[in-house]
Amino acid sequence: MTNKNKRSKPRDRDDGHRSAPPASRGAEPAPRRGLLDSLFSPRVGSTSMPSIRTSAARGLAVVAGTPVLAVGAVALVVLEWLAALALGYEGPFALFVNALGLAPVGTSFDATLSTSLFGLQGGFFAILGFVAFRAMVQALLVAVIVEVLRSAPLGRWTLIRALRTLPAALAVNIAGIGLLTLASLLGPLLGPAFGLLIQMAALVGGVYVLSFAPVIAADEGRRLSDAMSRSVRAARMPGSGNLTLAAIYVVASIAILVVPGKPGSDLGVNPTVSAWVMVLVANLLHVVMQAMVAFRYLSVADEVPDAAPRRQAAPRARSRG
Amino acid sequence: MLTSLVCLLSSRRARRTVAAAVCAPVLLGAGVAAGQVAGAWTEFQGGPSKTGVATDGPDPGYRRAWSTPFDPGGPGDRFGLSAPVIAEDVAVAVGPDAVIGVDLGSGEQTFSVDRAVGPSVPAAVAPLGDGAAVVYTEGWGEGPPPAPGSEVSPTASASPGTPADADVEGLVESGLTAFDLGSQERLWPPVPLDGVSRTGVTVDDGSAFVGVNGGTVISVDLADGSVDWRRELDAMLVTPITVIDATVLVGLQGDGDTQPVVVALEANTGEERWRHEPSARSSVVSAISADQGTAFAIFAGLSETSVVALDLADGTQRWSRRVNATFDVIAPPVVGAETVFVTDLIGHTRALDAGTGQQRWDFAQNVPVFRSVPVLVGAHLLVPTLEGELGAIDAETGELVWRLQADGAPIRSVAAAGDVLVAVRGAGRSGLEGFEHDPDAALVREASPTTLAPGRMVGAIAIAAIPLLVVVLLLGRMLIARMGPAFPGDDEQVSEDDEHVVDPWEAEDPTP
Repeated sequence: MTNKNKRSKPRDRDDGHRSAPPASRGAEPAPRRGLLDSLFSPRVGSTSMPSIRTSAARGLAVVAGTPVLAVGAVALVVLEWLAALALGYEGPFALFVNALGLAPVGTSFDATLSTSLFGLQGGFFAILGFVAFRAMVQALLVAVIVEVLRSAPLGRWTLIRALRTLPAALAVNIAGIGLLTLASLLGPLLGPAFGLLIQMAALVGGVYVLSFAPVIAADEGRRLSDAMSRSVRAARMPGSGNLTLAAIYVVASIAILVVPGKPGSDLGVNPTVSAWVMVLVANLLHVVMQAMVAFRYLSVADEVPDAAPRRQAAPRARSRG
Repeated sequence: MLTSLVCLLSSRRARRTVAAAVCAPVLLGAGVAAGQVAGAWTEFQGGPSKTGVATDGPDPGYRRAWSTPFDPGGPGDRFGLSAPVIAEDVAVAVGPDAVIGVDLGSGEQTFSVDRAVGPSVPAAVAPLGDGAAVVYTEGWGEGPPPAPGSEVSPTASASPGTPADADVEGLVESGLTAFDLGSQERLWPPVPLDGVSRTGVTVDDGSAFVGVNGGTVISVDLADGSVDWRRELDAMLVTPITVIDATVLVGLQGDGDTQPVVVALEANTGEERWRHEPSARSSVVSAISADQGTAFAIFAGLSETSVVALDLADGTQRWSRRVNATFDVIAPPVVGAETVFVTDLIGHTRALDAGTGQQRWDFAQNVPVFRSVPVLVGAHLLVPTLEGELGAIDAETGELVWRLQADGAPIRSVAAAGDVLVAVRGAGRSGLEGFEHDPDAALVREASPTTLAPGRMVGAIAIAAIPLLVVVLLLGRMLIARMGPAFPGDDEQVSEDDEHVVDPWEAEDPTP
């Protein structure tokens, strides 16, 4: 079926998937004139994966330059806070610094919130609802981000793209729960120090291998399993710096949670202005991170290696001898 | 005074309570009055039912009336005084190696009776003819814990502070003992206990009840120190014992295999009446309080924490209220004015309807409350904290009406004694302090931070979000202008007249 709607689209590859032009395509290196020019100038190197710095700048530009994203992120945090209050949450508000975090950082927030509200037993079931909501939010954010990166107008098509991203977003968040559960089971067996290390490793590993999947689903419309496996292959591309980015992201997300004396760390339902500023900035940065991930994937989409062909099963007659 | 000091010094060096008998007449001459115990705060949390309620006491705010320092003792000199109990005009507190009495009017120490080194757990005051008896436990069983950094065995010494000078036997025999408040003379030989006791003593109807760590409960006749009955419950018992309506309530801690339980024993015989096990998987149970046919306790585990109300007649659960918080097991729920008050470790107090468990109000002080036990004095719940703050919350409205600013030294427990509050302090202010009503204190009406103030919240959101968004969007305009599109090639749009534009979403089998 051909696309008959009025929406303009980028050129497609022969297989029907949109081509992902390299980040540097069509962008001539500009002469350096100052700090910003240095920061935003294209990266010269052997891989098309943008540097973390370039990705950060692009992610910031996408979020800050798209009022729907910036205002939407703020509105989402406010709505989530009000919903938590309605469910009986009494703080601390500072927990919400990771409300829009990527899985499994955001999933960890869901787990903490649901157990705070419903206890461990009730929270175990409640977290599924929280994760479903997170998946919807993430699908919508990713769809908008991909549209913006593709210079496409936002509209009905964005919602359709978000709907098609939903399974991947849901899978990523459920995988996040699995990772966190596994880490919490393994952690105590290895002692307190190793336990913390395992928890950190689970978060870093989760962000590292899972974060591209919703972007792949949004941009290429691949099946869930294909999007997940392609996310892992994209993450593992040599020289991509994805692991470093994931580690920086996780460490920063945890650091802001554990900083003593930060605003909003007490029980209370009327956060101060400073607490709101901290939480809103943190969540805008989470959306920036999502945009960074999307930008990085789209920059190398053409270079991601295909999955190895499945081995054919040996003929039964032969195996029987 | 000098003689008293000599007595005090000698008593600290002593390993047993011999010095007390020598010093007692001197100290008695210093003005200790025989105690009259009716209506007084005679044991931990006021009385045998551990409700933590004093109907009579000074109203907030308070000012410090006196302060009596007490140097910490025991292993590593890190053990202070127990929760105080009151016998008319004397506050009695148990230190690691002495029981001290302090005059409520002046704060002067009036006596010190040696005890075998042991945990600082509350004594109880019992009527004794026209006077009163102080009943307390002593001894550390197989030995006190080592001082921090010490490499000696924990089964080391009877000498406080010097585990290295261990008695080779290593045992500090535990026992229950009593002395006359007026003369400080022992009433009967110590009743041996088969291990260390941390429950403190509960006195009711001429008997003293005490628990041993290993789960033994003992009832002792106060008249002669004879053992009425002894009951082995075979589980960890570290929280105070509650007695009400001829029923002894004991909280036994759980372990990896067993649930914590509340056990009710017949006070006269020790026979088990009933036991209550929580429905949810739990690991600990708090001290128990009881009032008007109902026992109250907190069960806590990994999965959930609940305040429960149990029918005293048969142990059936009347209600259970889940509270996602962590509590100090030694603090029983405070029960008064048809309300149950529970305060968690972060200073979040909840007032629950005693009949239904429904929450009436809550107040978040947001300061640590550990080994600090709230009490209800008159119409105000007093919440002492680890940082030295003392909050007075209106029991009816849940508003904070006064607070003593934190000074860094913990307030452990508070006892009401007529016009005086006696508080045990730790750290830099270790000792006892007396507080009295301060007519010049400024009272406040502070709602809990957990009470929603919609106007304030909306204002905070607006003040934070609007400028932030303005800055972000301006930054975005600047960045977009400088950076241009992410993938300029995508701008080469395809018109709808181009032939055969394949919808990627509907490709039947996308190539991986």
